[in-house]
Amino acid sequence: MCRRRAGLLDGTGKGVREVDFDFTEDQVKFREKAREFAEREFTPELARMFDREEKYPDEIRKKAHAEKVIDYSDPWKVLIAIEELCRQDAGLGISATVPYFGEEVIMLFGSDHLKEKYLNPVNEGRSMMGLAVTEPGGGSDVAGLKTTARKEGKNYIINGAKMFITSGSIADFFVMLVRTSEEEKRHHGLSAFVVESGFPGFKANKLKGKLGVRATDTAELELNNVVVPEENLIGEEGKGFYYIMTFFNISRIFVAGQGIGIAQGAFDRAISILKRKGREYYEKEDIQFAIADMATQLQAARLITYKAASYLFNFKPDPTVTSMAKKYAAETAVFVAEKALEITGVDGISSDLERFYRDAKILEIWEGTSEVEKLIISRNIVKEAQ
Amino acid sequence: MDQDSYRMLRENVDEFCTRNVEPLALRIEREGMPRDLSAKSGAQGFNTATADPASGGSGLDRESYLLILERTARSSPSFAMYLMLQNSIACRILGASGKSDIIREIASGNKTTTVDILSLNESSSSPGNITISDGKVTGTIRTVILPSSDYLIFQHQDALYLAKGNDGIEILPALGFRGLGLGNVSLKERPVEKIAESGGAALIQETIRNSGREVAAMALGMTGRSIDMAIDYSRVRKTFGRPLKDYEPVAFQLSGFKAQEEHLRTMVFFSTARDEYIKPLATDLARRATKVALQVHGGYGYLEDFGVEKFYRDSMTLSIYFGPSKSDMRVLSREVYGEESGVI
Repeated sequence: MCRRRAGLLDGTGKGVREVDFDFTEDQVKFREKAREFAEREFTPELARMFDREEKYPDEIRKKAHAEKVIDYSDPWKVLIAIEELCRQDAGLGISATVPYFGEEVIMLFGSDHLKEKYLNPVNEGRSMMGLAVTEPGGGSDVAGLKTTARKEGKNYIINGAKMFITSGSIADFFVMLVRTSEEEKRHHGLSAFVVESGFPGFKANKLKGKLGVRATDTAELELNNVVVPEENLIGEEGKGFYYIMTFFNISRIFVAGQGIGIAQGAFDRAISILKRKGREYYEKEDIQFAIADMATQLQAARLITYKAASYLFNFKPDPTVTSMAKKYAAETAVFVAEKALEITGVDGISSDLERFYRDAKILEIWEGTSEVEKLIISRNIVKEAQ
Repeated sequence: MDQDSYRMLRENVDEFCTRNVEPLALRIEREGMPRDLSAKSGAQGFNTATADPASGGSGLDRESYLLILERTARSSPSFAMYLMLQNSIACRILGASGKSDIIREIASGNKTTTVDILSLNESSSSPGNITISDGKVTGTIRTVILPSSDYLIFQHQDALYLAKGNDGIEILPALGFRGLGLGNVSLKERPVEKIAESGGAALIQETIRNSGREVAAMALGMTGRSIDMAIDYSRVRKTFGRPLKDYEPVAFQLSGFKAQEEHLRTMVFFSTARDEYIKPLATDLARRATKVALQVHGGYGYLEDFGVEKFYRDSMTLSIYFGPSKSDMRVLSREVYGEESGVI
């Protein structure tokens, strides 16, 4: 195993910190496997069809699971898989990796009973899960959510609504953040539960007409007197906000991975179109400058994502660097997709490249908008400086 | 145009859009332009706004036409693009070719015409492959906007041809102007009429080059509407207990865009600046403004039901389809330097 260690100034006043994010041979081989899977399974025709029909590709999910493209035994492999799958197509790539979305909340804070009952089927590819936090009236303001859970005997009764829930109309259960106390301070009154989509009173309405990632399923959830057994409470009552924030510090790194994948995919396609157009076209300086800008930003996004990942995967997460990675990789995906269309013009816009432009934009919105990431970065830096 | 005429025409177009375009805006995106909308806009004189009345046109001045494009782009950029394609491109070419009969059909909204403009775009490397012999055309014309048009004007070996109908359309992914669609049009032994002996490509390119202010008017409409939508949304959407408009980055950015929109409006309607000066500003502003407008809407902006994401797609597509192209920038550079510049 060849490893290179590098020290980078982290910019938060802590001086030089070590990072270690070179890949092992096993991980390099895994990247090749994930890329080969995506190239084989995510054909342009299939990607176009699922995008057009806004249909979840369940067969692809099953194949990805069967071929162990998502390997939770090594978080680097999860990040690598997300990158490589989104590089080929974000809609299909995210669909293949999303059945496990929210798993870390149960893994880190759930009881053995919950792990056995809910996580085992997910890890065996027999079931899908999702995370339900956002509500119709609030996205960024997580602590302001209004869905309630009222204790009645050995159950909780949940009422309210959730919005923009990934896999909302297809997942078997959700890790759901709800309000269990009105008296406690806003975030202290929140708790996390496992809520099955089969529970009476649960209804999902699929949202159609998304700008991008149209193969993924997104829904609005209605919760009308949904009875949830008390053993489905994750961890302790009133700690849900902290569990979800901990999860976001993990998931944002994987969203950054989506960003690198989309940016790389758009970049690959732009270069391929330019080469087809010929030297006379791509050797013009304005095209060369654009290529250099795209490649540089992509490289920087990859490095900051790996840096954030190396902290997290070594159990030393740094929320500031994580937010920087998520924000920068998301913006890079949008920037590279835009530039790719600019330099390829009519050829690019009438090709699959247009889908990358549509897919990229969601990354600046979900799992914390770029504005929320900026607030986290800024507040942490100022706090640490005091 | 004086201020009163400007206001009256603006009210007239806005009323037409409120009644006829706005309720169909989502349907246009999903299913394409309905024929009855072309008929209604024909009855208003919009389809052939600037064409000579003797040829079935409305004979409006350019400022009035620009206003029609700006106001319709606020409701449906696809519909505005349809009007621009019929007016600025098709009617000008048909007028120069003496095809008054087709201009009358466009005027009524019964027929639509498209022109092969994208294969002549500098960024296109797919000119298609056609052969013409004995007055019949066979082959494929690539990347045609509004490919389902009744008439297709295209250039071949520097002559200009007119074909009626087609023999198949391969639909291409269309980022923007989905109401019109994008496709490769197949023609098989289809009768064609030569409408200009030579200078076909040059005529189409000149027609596009002379439409810089029209492109800017559409960009202005997209900018204005998307920012207005974001402003309205920021008044009612609350986060952390306060409306979005109370947060500096939201209020300052949207207000800044509103100021830039007004500046662009002055340039489009009331300045004597050359089109080459206005078009780059306009397309750039539209792209920046529509992106921020979508972001302000958060997750809702990502859904087509909210009507803001189409401006994000369409503004990018407008800047790819209509520039500013390198030749536009070369004209601008020549003017700035007083000699040939930007050639390497």
